[in-house]
Amino acid sequence: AKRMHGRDKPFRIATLSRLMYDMSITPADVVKRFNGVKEVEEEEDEDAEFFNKGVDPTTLEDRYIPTYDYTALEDKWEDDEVIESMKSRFIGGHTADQGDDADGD
Amino acid sequence: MTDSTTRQQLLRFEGHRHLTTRLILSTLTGRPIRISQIRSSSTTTPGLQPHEVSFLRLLDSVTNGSQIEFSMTGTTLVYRPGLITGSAEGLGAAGGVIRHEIHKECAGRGVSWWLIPLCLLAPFSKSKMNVIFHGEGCVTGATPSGDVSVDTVRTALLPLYKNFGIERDIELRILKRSCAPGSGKSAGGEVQLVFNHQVRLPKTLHLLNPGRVKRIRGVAYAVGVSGGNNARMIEAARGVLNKFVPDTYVFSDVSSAPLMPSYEKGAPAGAKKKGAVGFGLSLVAESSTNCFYSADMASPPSGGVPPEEIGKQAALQLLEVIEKGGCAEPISAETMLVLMAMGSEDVGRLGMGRDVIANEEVIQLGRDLREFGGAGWGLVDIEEKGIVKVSVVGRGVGNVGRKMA
Repeated sequence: AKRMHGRDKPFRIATLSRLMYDMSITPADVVKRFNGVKEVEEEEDEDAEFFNKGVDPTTLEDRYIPTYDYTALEDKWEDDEVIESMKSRFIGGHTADQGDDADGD
Repeated sequence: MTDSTTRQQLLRFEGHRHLTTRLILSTLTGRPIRISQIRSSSTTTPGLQPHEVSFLRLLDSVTNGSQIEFSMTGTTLVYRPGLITGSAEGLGAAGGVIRHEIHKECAGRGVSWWLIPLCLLAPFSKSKMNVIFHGEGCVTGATPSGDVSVDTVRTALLPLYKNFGIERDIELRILKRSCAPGSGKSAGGEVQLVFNHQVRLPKTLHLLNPGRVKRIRGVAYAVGVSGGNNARMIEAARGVLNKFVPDTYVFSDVSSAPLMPSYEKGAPAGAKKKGAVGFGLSLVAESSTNCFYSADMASPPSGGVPPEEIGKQAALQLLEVIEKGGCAEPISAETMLVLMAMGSEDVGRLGMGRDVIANEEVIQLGRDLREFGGAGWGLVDIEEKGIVKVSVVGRGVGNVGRKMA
């Protein structure tokens, strides 16, 4: 722990369970800290805020579907590596020759 | 209801976020709450918004003996929950059905914003729950404000209740479809929720294996526009998804624009006006262990987006949600975790993706649950599956009011 200069390693679930019930930290910050984006992000934010004021977190509304950057997503899902890594999440026997007609149960 | 419960210590919350969750938890646990500083810093729209007031009205009609007080500006709200009575005769219901009108000002939110929390109350209700949502603000499609479509609620959220032993007589009927209207326009959809399986306590859930995605189903809807839009959306979505699952089937639903009575000045008596038109796509992936992942996309009220784009974005969104993994997708996390917390006094376990649990809403939900007297969640990593095991201790109360009645 000393080697890390007291900084938490990102993605450790123990970190999250500790941060989760620390009421002095807002949920948004918990997520940020958990993902390990700390110092770097903040600097960038300051710049951005100076120019376009950013979005005030107090005016945000609850939403079920998060907003995605779809052009970035499109690039991501074109990437063969990403596609390969996802194959394990799907039932195998991937047969391209089965054609378009999916059989409705 | 009874004198002993009327003066309980108020739980205090701040801010306008997570309003429905807090109201639901309050109703389920029977703890009165006070929410202050609701948009108090906003200069244009301070206080409760029309859709939030509408939700409070809905709570008022499905419960008996709830007390709701606002401050003058609507920035402070005190809510003392009553019994969840459902659609019992004589308490706001006519013929066993509550008709909840959603007014024009609420059209910014989709009807799923009301439905999802209402579904959480329904299993604990004293009698059957049968609610029809209608009116100029009733949007059944997905909305730009991030609400899912009613199709997603029907196909991805309601089946989850089966895991908790709640499965009989649950139905969500879409009577009239409608898309998100532009500002100042009306929507005019109509949806009926029938939820007739009431339980004392939901079963303890043990769901740790997300399984593999075996099939993708979906609904493409075109309201008041050509059905060709559906075909184009489906084609684009399949283009992305066929690489992964060959078993993809998307239903196509074409309906005309909803009609509503027009009360405008100068209109002849009995005149009708058309509601919002548009198209959208709801996709649901089902895994071998009956976990669901969903995605929703609809044309914006301003138009100008081709259906291919909508279809592709919905498919990409679905892949993104599947990638997050776990047994609960972000949209269903609230439903699952609240039902687990309301379960019997036993430890329920749910495997969740890292990004699903490390999410602002879910963290706030964890905090709120503890605030309402629940135990903290236990989080354990399961390395080999890449998921986080969330252990939730049930409170074993079900509906407090129901027990007393």
